[in-house]
Amino acid sequence: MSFQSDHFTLERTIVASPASVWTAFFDAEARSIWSPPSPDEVFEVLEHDPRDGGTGLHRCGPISDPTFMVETRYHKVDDRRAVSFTELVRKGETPLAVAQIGVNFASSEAGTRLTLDVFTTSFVGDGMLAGTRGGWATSIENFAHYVEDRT
Amino acid sequence: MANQMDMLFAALADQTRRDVVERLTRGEAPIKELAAPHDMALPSFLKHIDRLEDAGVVTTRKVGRQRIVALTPQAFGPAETWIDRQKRVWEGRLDRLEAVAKRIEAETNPFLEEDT
Repeated sequence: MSFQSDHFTLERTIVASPASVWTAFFDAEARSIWSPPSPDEVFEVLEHDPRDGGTGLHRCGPISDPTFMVETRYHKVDDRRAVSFTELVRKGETPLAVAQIGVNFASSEAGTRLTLDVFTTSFVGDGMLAGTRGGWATSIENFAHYVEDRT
Repeated sequence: MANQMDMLFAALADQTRRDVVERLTRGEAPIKELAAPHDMALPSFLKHIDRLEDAGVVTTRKVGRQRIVALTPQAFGPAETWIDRQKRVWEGRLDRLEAVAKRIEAETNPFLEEDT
């Protein structure tokens, strides 16, 4: 099976200072709030050391079965300005995907201009990766709401 | 394509069928297992499975004496790729990050909160 790689950029203006956005991004408790893709999923912070060369370890997945492990390595942390890190997602001993993530926190008139660059590679194809179930659940929920609205 | 979408929406416009689809997100399953939580005769339940299969939401195959039902991933988003999903996950994360950052901002600088 060949690897699938791609890149995307997201930009967001947040009406809060870079200091507050930075804290929200790196605080372990805050991260466990904003990281799970849905209320049915959990993101547990097991290790958290966001500094140059620091690492993190997280367990995530459905609340009933959070079997995915995320190994984070922080390559460069420029206080309140930028961070570059990689995340390796595993299930058991099987690596599923890796992502290189760069985030810039720029002060703006409105507060903070956040720019997120993600370069990600799936090792297991397009259909069976961590997050697939979450994606499915979201798709189904959206469809259900759509259908209910139409009927 | 429109007809296919109509069939898809119609197939999902029923709680039993949505329950089936939700269960199948955790993996394929025999019809008997899918039917167990539903208080209806098996022939009636099979009609729901037929409806889902007609709409392309599920496929069925016979394994020994069992009929196994599985989701058809293409039914929900043929254009959605791995990268689309990752992008959507991060968009959701930024929404929640924004809410957390605003809360922190309000806690550390209450005057801003009063101004808004």
